[in-house]
Amino acid sequence: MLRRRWLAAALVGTVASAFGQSWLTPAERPEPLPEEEAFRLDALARDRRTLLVRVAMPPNYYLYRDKTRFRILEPVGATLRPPRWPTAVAHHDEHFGQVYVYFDRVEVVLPVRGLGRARQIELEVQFQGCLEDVLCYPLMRRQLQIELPPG
Amino acid sequence: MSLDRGIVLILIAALLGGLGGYWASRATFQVDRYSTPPDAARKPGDPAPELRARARDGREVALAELRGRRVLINFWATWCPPCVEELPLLDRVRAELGGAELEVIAVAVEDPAAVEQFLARHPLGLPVWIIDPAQSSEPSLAFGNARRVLPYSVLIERDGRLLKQKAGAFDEPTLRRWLAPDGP
Repeated sequence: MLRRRWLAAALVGTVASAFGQSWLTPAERPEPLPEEEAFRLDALARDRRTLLVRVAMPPNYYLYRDKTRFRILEPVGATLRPPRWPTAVAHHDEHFGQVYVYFDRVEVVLPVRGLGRARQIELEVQFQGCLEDVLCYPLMRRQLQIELPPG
Repeated sequence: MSLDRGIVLILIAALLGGLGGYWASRATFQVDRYSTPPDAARKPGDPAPELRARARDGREVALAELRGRRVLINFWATWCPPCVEELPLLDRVRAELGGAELEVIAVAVEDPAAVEQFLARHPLGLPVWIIDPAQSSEPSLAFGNARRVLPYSVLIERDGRLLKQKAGAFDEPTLRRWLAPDGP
């Protein structure tokens, strides 16, 4: 019985600690994350005609859909078709009009053509994102190496 | 242990946990010990670097001209929503507290035409300095902006030393604390 009460007290304390942090105004929250930790990118080839790129973000960080660009660096000659994005969060901003963003995590499908006999793709992703109501990161670029399944 | 004592224990844990979470977060706010690029390692107490820009009337301006006044420099850009949300606050508090002893300057590192277009729609009373990114790469880095994020603000003491650094938008109480005659 005593152990249960201690467990309950510990649980309530932990929840209250998290709640205590949520009292902070945006400007009081801890330092922003380095961009590599704020926007985690990975990618894979679903098959030789389809790539999947995933962006994962901590709470309150978001990615702009329309500021994201993809480009194949290798193999030369391979081309990307328009990306297929899932439904985004539409946000009307007084200064920027209608913008579309993603929180938490997004997976975008990239149709690709002209890979020839390549075994690997080097994909460049250019993107921009913010920590809501606090700050924005400048234009970021990442290069991703993606192994391709055999043709 | 009676039921009452159990409830008291849980309430104490909740109170301590809540306060602990709040203060732990506050304590980490000013700490910046991530992978800081060497040129972004400036910290409070260090001399502020020089900053050269163009004023809106086309004059060449430099931070050194403001030596003897306390100066808040706010780096911003038109594409950054928290920056443009913050500008009216900076403008208002500067109008109230600024003067011979204190100046607030908004430094935009962006295509000058984009900045002017923005300011035509959203007029500001505070001085705006513009740095063309084609001519200078991220100048806030030299002021300690390790994350290269915007907005980024620094408070510079009358003798040219860095007094405070902040990544992210101000709330009004924090800004007033920074700019108070006896602050921060």
